[in-house]
Amino acid sequence: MDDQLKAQWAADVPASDPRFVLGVMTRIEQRRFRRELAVTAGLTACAVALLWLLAPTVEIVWRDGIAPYASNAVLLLGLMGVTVAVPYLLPARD
Amino acid sequence: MTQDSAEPDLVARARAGSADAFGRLVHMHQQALRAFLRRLGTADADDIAQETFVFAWEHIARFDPAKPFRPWLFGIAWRKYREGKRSWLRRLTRQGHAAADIEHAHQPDPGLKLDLAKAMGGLPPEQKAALLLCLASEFTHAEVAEALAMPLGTVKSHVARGREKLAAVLGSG
Repeated sequence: MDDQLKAQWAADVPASDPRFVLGVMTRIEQRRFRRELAVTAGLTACAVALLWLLAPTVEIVWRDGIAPYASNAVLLLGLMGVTVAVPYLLPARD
Repeated sequence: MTQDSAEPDLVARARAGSADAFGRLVHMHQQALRAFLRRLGTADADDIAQETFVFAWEHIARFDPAKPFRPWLFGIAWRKYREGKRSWLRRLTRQGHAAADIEHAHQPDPGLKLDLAKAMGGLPPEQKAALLLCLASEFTHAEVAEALAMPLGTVKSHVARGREKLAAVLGSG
């Protein structure tokens, strides 16, 4: 009887379907995309919440600490940029 | 033979994150897995098979490479099938497909196929799964025990009883 059953079941095996493989890989990609989207959305929400909580402090620090010296800071940053860029723009000659 | 020898390498590469290797594993096992689920009598066999492969990909790090891949994969399929049976949503979908299945049953070439389907329908799910894996998918009893998470003795008794019931319904000893 086993042989009869095996023969019957062997005739029932579905054909190899490349669309099935494609379907599996598509589902995997969709899950990965959804997971990454959820993580990114979560991190963004956390960052927004943190910024909202810290906004008053940041504003005070900016107004009293940084804003008066903003022009000096820009000048300083510019000088630092030039210092870093010069060796690249004017390479040393042998 | 080539497929069998390539499998451990593909599993190792898939565990390392190669989607290409996993795609080849899907290609290698899709026919057997879909056939197993279809024979269990579920209308959404291909859907469960796809979910099985997705689950396998997401949890392949938990797979012990020292063990064979096939029982692990079929074990996932079996659990998905059981979960699906419990889900009312799937049950509703299956009822929708049932009419189509009945139409298929009246296609030409009924005979033994129809008798076999009827006989299989009368078996408890665990017995049916054990019998199918053993006879149709050519698993060893130990592999069936691992796939269905059952003791070896239980598997042997399921296979023996299932075989007896089928023989009784199909009218051959």
